[in-house]
Amino acid sequence: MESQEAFDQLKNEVEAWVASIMPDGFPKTPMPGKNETKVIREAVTGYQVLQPHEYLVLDSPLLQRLRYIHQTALAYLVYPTANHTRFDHSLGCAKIAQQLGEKIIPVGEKVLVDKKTRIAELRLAALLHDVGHCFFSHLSESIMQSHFRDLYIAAKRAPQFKGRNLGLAEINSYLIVKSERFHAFLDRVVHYYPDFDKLDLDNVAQLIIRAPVDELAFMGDIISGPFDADKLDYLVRDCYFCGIRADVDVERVLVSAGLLDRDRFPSTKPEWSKRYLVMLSAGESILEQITFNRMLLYPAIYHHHKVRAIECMIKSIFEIIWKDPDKMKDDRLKFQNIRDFYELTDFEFLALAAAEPRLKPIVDRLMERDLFKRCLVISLPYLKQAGNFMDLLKKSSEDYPEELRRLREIIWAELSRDKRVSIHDLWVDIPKPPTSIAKDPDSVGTRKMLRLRDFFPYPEWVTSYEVNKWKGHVFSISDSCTRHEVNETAIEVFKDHPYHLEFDERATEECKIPS
Amino acid sequence: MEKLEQMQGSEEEEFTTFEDIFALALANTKSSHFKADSDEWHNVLYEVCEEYRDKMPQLGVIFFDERPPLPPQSNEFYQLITTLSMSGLISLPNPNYELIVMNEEQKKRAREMEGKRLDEYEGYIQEISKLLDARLAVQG
Repeated sequence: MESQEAFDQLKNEVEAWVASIMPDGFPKTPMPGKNETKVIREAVTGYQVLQPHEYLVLDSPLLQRLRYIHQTALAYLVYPTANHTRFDHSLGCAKIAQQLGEKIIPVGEKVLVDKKTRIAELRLAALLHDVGHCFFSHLSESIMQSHFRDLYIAAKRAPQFKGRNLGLAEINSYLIVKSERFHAFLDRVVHYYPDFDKLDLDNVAQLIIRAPVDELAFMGDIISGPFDADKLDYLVRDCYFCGIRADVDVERVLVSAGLLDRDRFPSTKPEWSKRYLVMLSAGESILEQITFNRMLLYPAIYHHHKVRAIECMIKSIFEIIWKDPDKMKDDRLKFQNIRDFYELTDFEFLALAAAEPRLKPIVDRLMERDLFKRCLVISLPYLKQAGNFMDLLKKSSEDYPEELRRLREIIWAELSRDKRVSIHDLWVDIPKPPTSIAKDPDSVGTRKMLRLRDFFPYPEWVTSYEVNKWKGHVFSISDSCTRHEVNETAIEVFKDHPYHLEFDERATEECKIPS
Repeated sequence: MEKLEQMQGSEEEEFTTFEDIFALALANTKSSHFKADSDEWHNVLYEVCEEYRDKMPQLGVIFFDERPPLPPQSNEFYQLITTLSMSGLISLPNPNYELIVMNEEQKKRAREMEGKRLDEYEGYIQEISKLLDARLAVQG
């Protein structure tokens, strides 16, 4: 598929959805006066003042739906208080983006218009940066990215996104903000107020995909960069709501954040006119804290075996749907295109799925927390013989679910007939290593631009951590007899060609299968 | 294990990714020691993708974040290093983590593992091997 064709297809789907959800002429009520600000408080970042145009944006159906999209999907089935949503997170991001902007945006430069306007753009971009998320946040994003893989990969290559490795939700957030209906709404409510008449809505959209014009590159860093408002909020928020005792000292970040001037770049090339958000060298330890806390959150939350088991159960639902979409009574559950994903929030999806006889058993098990359980732990330290481990590793659940499906089918076919569960109740889960942790070109500025890795080779540290801590799993239903059978069968399958993997006893013991 | 036997010679063996290409390219180099995470690695990966993406579709999933004057950065670079390291095909020697090592035994394993499934790209992979030798090899 050609990249422009893919871009146009996505754009059209997003345009159609926005037009369907966003009433023409919203808001119908008279516009509030320019002094009618509101104060809002949320648990992590505290109080913030909302300008009239900001709460009009928040009141729009596009933003309100984020109240019903959990930040960490169904992780609340593991951590009971992980009920925070994309809406809360967007508010938190807006406050941190504002604080970073206040710290680093210079005054008196023509290109910057005025500081107040640029900070308003940052706040708006932060409020809107996750508007492209669908139900269950990154889980549905991952499902979409693999099911519509050709479309997604081609769209990523569109010239608009060159030099940015974007997720589908980021691309769609951008397309939503650029959509005709939403753009007209933003234009009307923002520019109604004389204080914000210079606010550049195109810059807001570009900030979301970290692609503002060169002179404003540092503003893109605030929304999506080495220590952006997004990370600073979600790291603290996910820890707080999951009850995990880890934290990031956001105040310290704000103290040490700075703007690296173009004159200090180790080059005189005129085209390098960009300035970046950097951490002054005194704040180096904060960058380490951000990096390592992100890494620690993977085993604690994102790759927690129960969280992964829940994700497999949701993927089972999609397997059943896509095997025969016409058997779904409700058309909204056919998911034939990306737009369909935007029609539902978390509970709407679960409610609709519960009403479908073919999906109800899985939804019931989720609601009763009768989750998939471990039958085998795949981990490098638990391998006696590593064989062709790479052939398994490269088939990550996120990128190549169809390849793992073949492997599941082989294990399934080898189960004894009397213990053979449905193929949808048998999963091989190979999480993709969290490579983005290592990627960020963290900046530490003094007289010249350095990166965190110039002080400490943390990418290799992260790789080493992954080598030892990464875990994949074979999951199945909670019945002990089934788990024993799946365990023994999976061990045999992995031992044979093409993997030649031999597990030691810990790979089974860690599953705690009752005898 | 009838099903497993069916996998031999089936499309299962055809499934190759960019990790396979770089594993084989590293296995075909003359050197055994390469710079670890460095600007040069990212630059080489970028150049390889620009040159060979149309010839080897497996490279089409590698994307870069560009933030000049820093070199382009790719998530997939770390995915590559992590995957090869976890597979035992390369070593990241402690404590300095400055090197990626693929010794003769590891090279042999990589070649055996890849077998003939990348034969159609043999010429391109040899070119990548030469590039890796020229740009990233260091004294062991």
